[in-house]
Amino acid sequence: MKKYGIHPKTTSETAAECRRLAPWIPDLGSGDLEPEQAAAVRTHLEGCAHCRGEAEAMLRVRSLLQAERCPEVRLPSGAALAGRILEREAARSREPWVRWSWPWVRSGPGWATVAVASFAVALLVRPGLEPQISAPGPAPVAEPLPALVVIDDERTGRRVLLAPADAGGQDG
Amino acid sequence: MLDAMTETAALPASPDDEAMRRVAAGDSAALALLFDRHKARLFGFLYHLIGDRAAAEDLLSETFLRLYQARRRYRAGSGFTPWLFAIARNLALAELRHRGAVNRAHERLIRETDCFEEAWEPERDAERERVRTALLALPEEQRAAVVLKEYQGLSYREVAQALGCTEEAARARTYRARTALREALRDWWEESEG
Repeated sequence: MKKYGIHPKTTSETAAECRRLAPWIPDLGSGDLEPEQAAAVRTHLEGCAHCRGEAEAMLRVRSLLQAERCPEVRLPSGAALAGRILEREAARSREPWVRWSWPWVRSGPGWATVAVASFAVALLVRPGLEPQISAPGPAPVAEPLPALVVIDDERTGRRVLLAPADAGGQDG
Repeated sequence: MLDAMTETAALPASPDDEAMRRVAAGDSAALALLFDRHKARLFGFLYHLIGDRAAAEDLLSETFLRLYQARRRYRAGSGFTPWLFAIARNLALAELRHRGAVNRAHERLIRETDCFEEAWEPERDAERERVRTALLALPEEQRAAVVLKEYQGLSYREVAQALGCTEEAARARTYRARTALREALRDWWEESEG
């Protein structure tokens, strides 16, 4: 068996043609090529010993693959499998959590969404995480001082300062 | 499912599409029919992809469970076979990742060679083992492409649908796989031919 790795041709043009057609060679005769592609491959193979060798090697690979069949196993019948699947799904749908929850909550991504949303809400409402430095707001408004009442004390002959409540009490 | 069926009502329904419509309506006989129709080739695909007979059997059942769960998402006319193989491949990929994959699967394969219930043919067994080794050494994307093409006989368009890539990418992956297999097997067949 000859080696196919080294291209025997010397001109870059023919080598380029070989490279262009190489992917189509294994599909020759399989129905996967357009008629013009198949014709181009056939014409090329007639004049290119290197690619004929490639085609031969690919046929060999294919026949080896076909010979490597999978082992004989006794697979279950469709009826048995379908019965098991429907039973399993019915049991799953009877689970209370599955029955009462929304479908998106049951899925893995749904749970992740719920977890992330809960964490975000907790962050927003948690007082300890409120911003410590806030933008300056309106200046605080000073509470007006209570008005004072000045009365003349007849007994002492002095002027006395009274708060309005006291003044009112005295009035009453 | 009904919406999907309505959307594609103009397309001719394949027998698989019709069965899927019935599965969506809860018909277990249709599910059984689909399983019986596809189990052998799907098992072959899974076996060649992961190289483990027991795991391939498990994944075969799991594939149909997933099919049943996704029954309302299936769109008639979109290609049942590639859809089915895509489900199976996703499960196989998860399985391979779970095991840390190819090496351990390969060891199992070698052990399995002794379990074949057939006449012992040393040369044939050596040939099969060599091919399996070469297959399992391929990157998963290439292996899936060449298995779907060579063993399952899918068109490149279907291979592309199953692998979620373009038709050109499916062709390229298949070609790279074939080339790698040729390189892996060439020395061996040259030796065997003397």
